[in-house]
Amino acid sequence: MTSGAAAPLVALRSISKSYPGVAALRDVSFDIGPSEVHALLGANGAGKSTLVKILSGAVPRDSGEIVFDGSPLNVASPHAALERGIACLYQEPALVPELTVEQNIFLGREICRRFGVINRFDQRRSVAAVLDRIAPRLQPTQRVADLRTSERQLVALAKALTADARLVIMDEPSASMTDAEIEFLFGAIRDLKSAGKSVVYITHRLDEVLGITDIVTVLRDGKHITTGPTSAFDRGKLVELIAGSVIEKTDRAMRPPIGKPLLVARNLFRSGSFSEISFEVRAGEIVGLAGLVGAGRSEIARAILGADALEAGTVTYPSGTTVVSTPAEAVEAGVAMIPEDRKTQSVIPAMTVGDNILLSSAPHYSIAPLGIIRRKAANEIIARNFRRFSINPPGSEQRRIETLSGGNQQKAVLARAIESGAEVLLLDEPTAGVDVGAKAEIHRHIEKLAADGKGVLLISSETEELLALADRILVIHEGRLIREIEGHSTNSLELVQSVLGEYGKEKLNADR
Amino acid sequence: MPTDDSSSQNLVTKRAALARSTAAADLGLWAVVVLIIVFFAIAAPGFMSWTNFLNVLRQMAVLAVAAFGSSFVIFSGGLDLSIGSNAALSGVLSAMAARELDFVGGAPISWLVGMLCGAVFGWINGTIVTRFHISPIIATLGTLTIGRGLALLLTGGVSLFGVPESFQGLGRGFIIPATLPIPVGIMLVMLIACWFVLRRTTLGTYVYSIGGNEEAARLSGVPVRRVKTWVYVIGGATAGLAGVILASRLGSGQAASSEGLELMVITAIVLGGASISGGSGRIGGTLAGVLIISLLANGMSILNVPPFYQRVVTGMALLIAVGIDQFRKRRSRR
Repeated sequence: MTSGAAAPLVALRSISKSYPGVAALRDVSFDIGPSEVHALLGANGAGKSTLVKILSGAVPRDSGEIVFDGSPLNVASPHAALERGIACLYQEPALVPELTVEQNIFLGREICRRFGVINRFDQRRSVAAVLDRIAPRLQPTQRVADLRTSERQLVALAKALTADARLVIMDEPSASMTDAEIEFLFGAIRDLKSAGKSVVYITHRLDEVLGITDIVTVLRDGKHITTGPTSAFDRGKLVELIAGSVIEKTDRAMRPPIGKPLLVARNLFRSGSFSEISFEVRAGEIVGLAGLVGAGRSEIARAILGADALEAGTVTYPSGTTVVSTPAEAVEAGVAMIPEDRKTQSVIPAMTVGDNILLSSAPHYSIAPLGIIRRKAANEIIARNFRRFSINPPGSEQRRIETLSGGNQQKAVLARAIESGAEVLLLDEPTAGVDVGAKAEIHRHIEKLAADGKGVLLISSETEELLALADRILVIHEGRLIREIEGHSTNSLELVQSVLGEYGKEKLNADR
Repeated sequence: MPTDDSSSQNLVTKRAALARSTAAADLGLWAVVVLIIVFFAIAAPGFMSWTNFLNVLRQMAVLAVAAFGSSFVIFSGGLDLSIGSNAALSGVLSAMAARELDFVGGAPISWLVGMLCGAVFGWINGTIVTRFHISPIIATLGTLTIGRGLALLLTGGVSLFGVPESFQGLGRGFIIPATLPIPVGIMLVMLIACWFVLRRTTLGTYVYSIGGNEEAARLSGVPVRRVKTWVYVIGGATAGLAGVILASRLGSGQAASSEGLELMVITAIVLGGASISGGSGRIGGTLAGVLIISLLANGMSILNVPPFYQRVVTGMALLIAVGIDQFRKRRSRR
């Protein structure tokens, strides 16, 4: 306390965190000063979100220590973090939709008279003061369920402001905001700063970084790359730091000449998700979909699978049909998907590994129309995939899939999609959260699929994965297809620039 | 060498399957059944007799048939509260049909009418759940009330008599005289049929997959809506069949019958080790659950335990069984 202005508000020391198969943070150390707006930058999966979760008490760290305001920070829950003076705005605001704006702002720390009776008068006054500053259009009595995402962000911000936190962490708050709302947000950030509080600001928009922040920290692959005053960086430098070393063309085996189009998408549109998306996937081709989380990539894949409705546009499926309204019909038309989230969207935890593999390929091992299972054919499919993917441990066909490691679960899920007989596979982050060995193996199988004449649409947040596998990379930015890059002719810098929506901007600025 | 390899693998698979079918959960369940039998054999004179044994089987048949079909619903993560009403309505309709079809060969048709009524009732449940996205508990709560109301309307609230004698064949007849009553035969056939569909057809796999993780099943191409509708049709048809058996045994259509059958059915299925949230359970477990309920009721009747106490005991049996199960699961997780 006596050390004066130099004492940081938060000191992170050697923070590490791993999830099964991945090291999300490795030995990260940096400081956040008082009255400072601190930008946290990094590509998808760089570790920003994990760091935020650790700071806000949502997940425990594996090792390292945090000093907050002069004393160690060991909070076990977001509530405890808030008590210490750390408030957090998540990408998806954590609010109770059925309650009003005012009730949400004071949830858990209502201003009370005796016997837990809420002091409405005081509460209303304090809410009015905050809303007036950041969202004059919102009424305290509105139900949160009726608000747009960006308005909810502002309510979450109001909640953080009234909590009188010393440190406010904002995880991409501006992603869904209009320009006017962003102005209010920036106003609130300036107010916080002048009140002596600090803000950690996460964004992918470099304009915002250069415009509002004082200090920049860049993370890459879970490692701390740099921390320095914003004025010391320009756009180009920041992109370079985020992208990392420039990987030139990767050595890889040539694939046979690419064949006829299997999947043709024309002018796909779904409001709030994506628009004017047109592309083809040809036989023997791996098409990458690059973009930020939330750019609309998974939504495009889900719409093609018939899991979400398309509002406009047509998809021609491998079978030739253009009418698909459920995933079951899509599988029949020759398209299968590996969804993004293994736990909630792809494995059936209580079923055996074998049954999980068999789930999409009923016609190949059962007698229509009653669907009587031919045990021998079914066992053959299971055995074939255990061999092909060397699923570990061997002989676990009849074990519940939840007892296997993430990588082996993912292999079973890939086996399921392949055994459906699909001509085109939509793979959404197929190697997320799997260990290095399983990842290499899955990559090998994806290449094998293309070599066998299948079409693959590969969604990945990992630049290197796309560069290593994709023949063409389509870049999706805020729901639009903004670029198409030949997989061989690009490098990670160009790809990251495109993904951030920065490609070509440098030139534009230079011209000005 | 390769043959050696595959045969050893086969053996492993077989052994695993064996281990699965005699899993600890099942053993515990059947141990309870044996324990109950041993207890009443000692405590209740006349319990261990052929006549009483037949009696238990005949009494449990109605509950068992309804519970087998409803197992599909519960295993898929659904719930059907309308079973009792469905059984009553189907029984009434079946009896009414029998009255109209008073000629040789008319009775079997009236039985079929009752079962068909149950299936249609179930189809309506399934359609409400899958098309109008109303949660199963609300949807079937609604049809529970509607079904009971319709049955009362049809009978005017009184027992429907004047049913031809031949109608009673299903409930009172024997396949093998004095040895195998028809309802018990139906129960055994249903047991095998339901086991076969759940374990040996794709529909069965789909039922478990939807109960285990509906979104994953849907994205894998499982026709979720169709399967869920079928599950209610199966549950409804067996409820209808149970209602017909009961009406046939009583020789009349009674709108107020089978009240609370749904709760007995759910109790039996949960006793049998199924999770109420779906994804797990076995038809053999359901059979054990029905046996536990029926043996307790029978034994206590012989001991002249007043019916009110019997309810208390059955409820406690459910809580103890599920409590032990939860305790074991939590311990094994640690």
